[in-house]
Amino acid sequence: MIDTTHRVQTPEGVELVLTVAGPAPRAIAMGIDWGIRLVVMGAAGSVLGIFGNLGRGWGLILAFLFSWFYSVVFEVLWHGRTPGKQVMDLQVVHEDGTPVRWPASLLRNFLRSVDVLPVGYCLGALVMCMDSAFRRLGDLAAGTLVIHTGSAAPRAVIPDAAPLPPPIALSLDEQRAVIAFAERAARLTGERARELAAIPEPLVAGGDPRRLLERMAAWLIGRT
Amino acid sequence: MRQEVFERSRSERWKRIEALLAGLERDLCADAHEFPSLYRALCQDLALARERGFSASLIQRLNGLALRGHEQLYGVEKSRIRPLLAALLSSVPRAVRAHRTALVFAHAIFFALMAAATWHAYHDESFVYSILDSADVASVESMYSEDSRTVGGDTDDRALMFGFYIWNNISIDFTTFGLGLFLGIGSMWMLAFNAANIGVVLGHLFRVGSGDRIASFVVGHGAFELPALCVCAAAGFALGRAWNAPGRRSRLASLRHAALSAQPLVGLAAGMGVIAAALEAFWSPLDLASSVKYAVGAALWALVLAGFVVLGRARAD
Repeated sequence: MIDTTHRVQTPEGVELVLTVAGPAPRAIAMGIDWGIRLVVMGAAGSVLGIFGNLGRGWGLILAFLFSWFYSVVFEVLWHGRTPGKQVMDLQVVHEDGTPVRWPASLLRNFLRSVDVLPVGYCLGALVMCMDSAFRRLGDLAAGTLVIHTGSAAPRAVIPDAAPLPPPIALSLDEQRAVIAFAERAARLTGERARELAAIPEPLVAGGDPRRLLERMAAWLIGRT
Repeated sequence: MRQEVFERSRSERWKRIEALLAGLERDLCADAHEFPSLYRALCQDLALARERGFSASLIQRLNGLALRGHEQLYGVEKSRIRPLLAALLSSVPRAVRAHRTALVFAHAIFFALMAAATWHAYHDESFVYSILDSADVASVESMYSEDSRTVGGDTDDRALMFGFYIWNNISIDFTTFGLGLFLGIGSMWMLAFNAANIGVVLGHLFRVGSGDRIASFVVGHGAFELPALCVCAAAGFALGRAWNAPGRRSRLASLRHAALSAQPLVGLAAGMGVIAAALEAFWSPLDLASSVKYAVGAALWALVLAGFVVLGRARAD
């Protein structure tokens, strides 16, 4: 299966799979962060404007800190998330899966000034699409990735059905496909589920395809 | 073993791991001595589930748990501010030592170009107009003319200028570093551009007789501001050189190594930039005799030079 995954080798011998995020969710997260910064800077600006030039001076310092260090502080102190990334369920991690730390976060955010060239992250997006793990120049230099945390996915359950052994011996991949279908069927429309279930004709020849596959999946996972 | 049986037999263990992880992640767990063995067992369960072809959502759940456990065991302790400061203080001298050649090179290029631009603008009336446009030249002339308000101003104005210099100059420094990714050419261009701009302004103003005014104004903060740019350019050169001549590493690995080793230089430059901004906003505009300003300026330059020498001295250990 083609998937945008990055595999981490662990000392325990098992591979951990990170799902890398592409340009679109990252762009949306960036947009949300810009929006937040704009609102906060606007509010701060109007408050500071009361203090005349002194306030404006502080406002400029604040603008400087915001533009360069907003992402860094959030990424390091909040487990690799900025508010925008939190909304999109993304996380910045090192390539071994651990949340990003100060040196890497500072580096990837400093190099943001290169990724925005010539305008609007053109270079960054180009590099992202050429890299197998969707890394922009800042990520490449700092050794970081932006991944989907996937924490929100609910546990899929196969619906209740009397178990039925498949009439044909199935390979491991085929078993996985039947189980995956049974887990997903509740989230599909009725017509679509029936259409998909009708594909393995020898398997579902004797009745309602969807129901049969759900029963076979229940047997395959070992329900009694 | 079928999936349902597998899940039922392991669910106790997975619940225990969830509870431990929740505690560890909030720093509430005082006693987690069983965690490593539980984590190993979890990894075995994950490998088993993958091998047996169990459902994708189960594998995803186990993968998520294993990632969190992996972080607890191998992730560095949650970064706090103190390690950051300590790291900065120790890594800056190391970076200065490691990138001595690049630092000297960047400073040499910058001041050579600046001197050349100054000399040329002083002797050739029209040279300044090939670098700056006439509106800029006019505004600079008026800023340093007899009756200008550059010197003086109240505290609030000074605070505004302080903020402006921080926002403007340090951003330029950071960008100079980043542009070094383009084989160092970007940093070189920034150095040359700034050196030329500053040089022609100096030369032109000396030519029209405002030389003393501008020289006494910039000598103080220039001691910190100009080297800050050169330091960032040197860091940029390190980036470009790593990509171009990776030595025994792959280009990507070489880039990463150079980036992390040159990064403290950017921190140093930021610190110098803040000092320069403070000097430029609060010291330079003070209405003092030129000789005083030149004296203080010379002392500051000596201080910066001594600082570099001390930082860059090879350590016996």
